Amino acid sequence: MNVAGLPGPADDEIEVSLFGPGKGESCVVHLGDGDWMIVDSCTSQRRGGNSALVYLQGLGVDVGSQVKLIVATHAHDDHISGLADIVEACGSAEVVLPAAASLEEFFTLLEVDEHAEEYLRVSAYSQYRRVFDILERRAVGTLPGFTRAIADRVLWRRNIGLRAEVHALAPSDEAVTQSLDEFAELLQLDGRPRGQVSNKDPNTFSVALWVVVGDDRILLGGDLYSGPGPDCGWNAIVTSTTRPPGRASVYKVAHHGSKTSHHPGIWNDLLDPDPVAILAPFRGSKSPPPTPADEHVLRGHSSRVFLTASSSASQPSSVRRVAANLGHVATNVREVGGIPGHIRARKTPLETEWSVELVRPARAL
Amino acid sequence: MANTSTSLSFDGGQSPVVPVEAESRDKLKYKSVERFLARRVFSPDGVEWTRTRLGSTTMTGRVALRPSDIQRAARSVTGAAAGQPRATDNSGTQVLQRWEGIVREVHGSYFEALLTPMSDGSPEVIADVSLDAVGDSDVELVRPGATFYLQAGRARLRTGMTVAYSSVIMRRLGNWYQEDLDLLRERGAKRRSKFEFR
Repeated sequence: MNVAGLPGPADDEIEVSLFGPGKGESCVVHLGDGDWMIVDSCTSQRRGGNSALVYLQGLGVDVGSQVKLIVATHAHDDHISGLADIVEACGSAEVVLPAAASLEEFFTLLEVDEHAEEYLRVSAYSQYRRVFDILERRAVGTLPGFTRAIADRVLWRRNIGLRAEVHALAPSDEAVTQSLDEFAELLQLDGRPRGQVSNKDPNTFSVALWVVVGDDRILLGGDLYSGPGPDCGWNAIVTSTTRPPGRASVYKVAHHGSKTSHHPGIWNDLLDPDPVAILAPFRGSKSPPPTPADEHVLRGHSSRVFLTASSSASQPSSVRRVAANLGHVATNVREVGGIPGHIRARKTPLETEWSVELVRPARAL
Repeated sequence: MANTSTSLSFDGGQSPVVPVEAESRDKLKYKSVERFLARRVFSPDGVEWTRTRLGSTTMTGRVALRPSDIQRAARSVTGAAAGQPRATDNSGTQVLQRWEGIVREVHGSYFEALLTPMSDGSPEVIADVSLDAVGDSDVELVRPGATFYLQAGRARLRTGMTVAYSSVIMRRLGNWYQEDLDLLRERGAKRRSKFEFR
């Protein structure tokens, strides 16, 4: 199925579209009344372009005015590749970053990363720097800025027409504190060899979102871990007494379905029975999630689990050529991402079930 | 079944090759002092060599041989084993591809790296690179965030055989100094002061 020329959702129709795994993953949500939100970013090495922008523009959405919210769940280039292009194109959208991105240590980390980029060809946080550059350029007569996502904060609300809200469920206060420690540790560089700023995953401060449109709720799990500890990650959300009430009927499974994000409380306390669960696999590691064991867990919670692609895929000829050249020195040569699949779930207020469409290589589990 | 294979040592292209030890049934090992080759392994499906040193660079490689090449190599080995001289110089090299690599994770015998092509439009890839490809003096540099250059190419031997080679060169970029970090911290704070956080 080609998305080009497809009709957009009706004003009262909610849509959750998930793209991945290209370089990164991206979730696009129709919040009703022509308002959209983009969470994270996904680009395709093979096809080029930004999946969310290509899709929305294919639907005829004026991204410059209709995208209201752009959320970067966490700071890695391999999750937010192309984020700056989205911010550039969606000129009226509010940019939401994890609260930890406002810390002084994070800004120092960006500078260290930029310094390293002068002699390296790649960097860990170039997208963030580009986003900050765009925000600075765009702010005329005012301070550039962004909205900090932290638990229990309402990030966006529409009171006129179809009621819609976007809440941050994570990161928790404790997660932000721990992020501070992580940044400080990353900056313990005196006397150490120069190189790329370590991009060990700061999933501790990943954003998770709770979206309410009319009577429907959607849980977008970002890359949030179960913990660490009782006051971080899903542990903190599940036990929270201040999170928004109700249960969600669609769940963007956290952290590619990895066991690091399995938490029974998600399914028991936050979701309807047998929800629609969607996820994009991760192809960067040797045992990419979801593993068969992860899939078994997911199937135990829902009969409607959909993946944007398989965890493993045959490599394109361009990668096989590289593998042939590397054959004597490297093994397991794999593409960064791949052709992103697309899962699209839509529902009108009058319908009781979500209608799910899949664009290859997306598949049902 | 009798062990019929033999390990042989080359002494450049000038001296006869001398068997040094018996190995597995279907492999013959050689030590070469060619420019790029330190050790080669002849096997039924081709020839490979490992752990070759050029200056501070360690190279590894595998030769892909056609059946006729294998037969020729086998004849060459037979001749070498008999003490006959054999030419082993390579007459030129061709770089096929270069990458800049960043170490993502280090495992027991290999490290996972992101490889960004430097020379053409081929894709960025992730690969597991053998630590054997890294020189002994560079192994300590292999850690997450470390960068290196990786080069793959072909070398043509005087015998007419084309062999593949690759090199991993860990980059030594010097150390961070507190003065650098203080300056960067100051720049970060200055930029942050321009922003409003809602």
